[in-house]
Amino acid sequence: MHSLAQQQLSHMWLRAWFAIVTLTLAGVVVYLQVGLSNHYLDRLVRFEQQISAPIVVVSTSGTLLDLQPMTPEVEARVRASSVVEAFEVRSRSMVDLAAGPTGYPLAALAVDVTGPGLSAPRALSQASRQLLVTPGHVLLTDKDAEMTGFRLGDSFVVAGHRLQIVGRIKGGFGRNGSLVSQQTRDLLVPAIPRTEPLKPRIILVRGQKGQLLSETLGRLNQVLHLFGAQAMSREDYVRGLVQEGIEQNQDVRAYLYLATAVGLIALLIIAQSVQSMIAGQRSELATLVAIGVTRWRIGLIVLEQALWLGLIAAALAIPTALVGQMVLERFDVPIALHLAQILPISGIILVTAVLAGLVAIPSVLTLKPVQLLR
Amino acid sequence: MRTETGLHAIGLSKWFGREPNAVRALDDVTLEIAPASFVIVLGASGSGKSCLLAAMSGLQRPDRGEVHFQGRDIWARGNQSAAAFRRDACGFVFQSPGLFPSLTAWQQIYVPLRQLGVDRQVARLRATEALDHVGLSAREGALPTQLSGGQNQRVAIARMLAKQPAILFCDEPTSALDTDNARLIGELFQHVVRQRGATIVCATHDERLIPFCDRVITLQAGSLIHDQLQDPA
Ligand SMILES: Nc1ncnc2c1ncn2[C@@H]1O[C@H](COP(=O)(O)OP(=O)(O)O)[C@@H](O)[C@H]1O
Ligand SMILES: [Mg+2]
Repeated sequence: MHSLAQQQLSHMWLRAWFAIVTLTLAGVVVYLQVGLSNHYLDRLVRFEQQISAPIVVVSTSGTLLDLQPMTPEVEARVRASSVVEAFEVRSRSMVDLAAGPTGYPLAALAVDVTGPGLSAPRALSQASRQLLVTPGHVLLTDKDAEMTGFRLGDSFVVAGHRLQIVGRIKGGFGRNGSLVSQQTRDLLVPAIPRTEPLKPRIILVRGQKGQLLSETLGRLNQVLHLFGAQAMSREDYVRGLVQEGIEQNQDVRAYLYLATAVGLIALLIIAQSVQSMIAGQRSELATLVAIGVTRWRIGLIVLEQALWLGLIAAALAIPTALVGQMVLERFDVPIALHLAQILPISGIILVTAVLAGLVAIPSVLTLKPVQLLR
Repeated sequence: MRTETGLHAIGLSKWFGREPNAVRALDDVTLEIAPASFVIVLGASGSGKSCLLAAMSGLQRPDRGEVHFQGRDIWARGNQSAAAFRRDACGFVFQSPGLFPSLTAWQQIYVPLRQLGVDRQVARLRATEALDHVGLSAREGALPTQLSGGQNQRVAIARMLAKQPAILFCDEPTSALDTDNARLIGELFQHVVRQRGATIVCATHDERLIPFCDRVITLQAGSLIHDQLQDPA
């Protein structure tokens, strides 16, 4: 047998569907908003969130999006630190290769695949890593293949060196996400004579094995703070970048406000529908109060009804958002929906429904069975 | 005199509004209701029947007076003790059956029992038995819209019988029903009192129920003006 809440909902299907459709549409707006923001933020942190190094050292002045160079002392301290197992100073990381058959230029990211491999993407398989070790080898992303027209096996000459596309990579890397090794980069980019060594903007660090991340960070920061630098976890670094990205990008902010506004309006409408659904069952629920059913149990019936609205809406919002994404893509609106975000957004829809149920709770508390008397 | 098992109302008063325009809905009503009796509270509209029922059943606190059940004042700790009294000892039948439109006749009985924390298996048995008691076993799968007013009222009564209350409080239970249905319900009440030893307190202006009861109490303007025992048919 279905629960009382379920049966009452199916009985009041018109009101229930109104609430469900509103909630579903609100959910879809949130999905698309997140998808739009993702598109921007993904580009922003695509490489940073993939690096193998668990720790990042940056300057304390400036922002993460606009890193200030650090003094050479910082590198010296990192080198001397007993808590550091390996580190890598990342300076220029992009290297221009050649224009492809379509005329679009191919640029690649130079990563360390031989040493500690701190700048190499974590997702890079051992086999791909091995492929890159040979100087001149290039791994091509699907997006770059599409843009440039290069294909597996193609080779071309850059600054007198022969380069060859030896593999394809997937997963998170899009445009300009193709990879070469640092050795290849060093071949192509002639050393520029300097009077002063290049000041690092970012140092990738791996702590000693068997040491807690928080401990390594703590020990490093004790020293680094004296030199205007700080160590943070890769996750905090990426989170910081995303945070700054949201703050600095007006579109992303606008989407965020829009989604919040839509969510609040949806909450009001749903709360209203749940209220009216409860109003329609007042005398039935009051009869239960009369015979001594506790009010919190009746509150649970109300919350269960709201929860079911939320569950159905959350389930409907996923395919609807995917259809919305397809439609928007036809109009060249870039949307990037991530599987990992489906659960939290479904959660938001559920929470909205439950909040609407909570709004209806006071009307349960004011149920007066004495009003059933004539 | 106070019996341990009966229901005893002492000096109940209830008024609405302020002097000098206050309405005395109940004016110092004292009465005792013996166990296993069917008592009808009669009176014109506005005479205070419902207020008396509300005070004695723990639904609305009187302004003055006490209501004793099994030696305790049900209003001793206000709504809290009254709710406990209603949960442990009372059933209610109102003029409107108050049935959930989405539930079948059988579920109308089963669901509240479960809400009261009755074990699943026990609730099943009691629902089936109560529906049988009111002669509606054949309609156990019917929704309220598929039953007549009288049948729905019998489902509402069965819902309360399944709770096995010591006292069943009824307010105008037959006022919306035709004579045949009113008689059916009168017989049912009589049967419940005889077979189960339950007490029924029924506020009504419907004189068709009188032949089935043991005692008629008459209210006028909030005062008890008549109290008569009688031999039921
Ligand atoms: N909530 C209320 N507010 C004001 N007056 C009320 C209220 N409830 C009952 N009364 C008054 O109390 C008197 C008795 O009411 P009630 O017990 O409902 O009468 P009966 O049930 O006999 O028709 C009536 O005059 C009615 O108008
Ligand atoms: Mg009345």
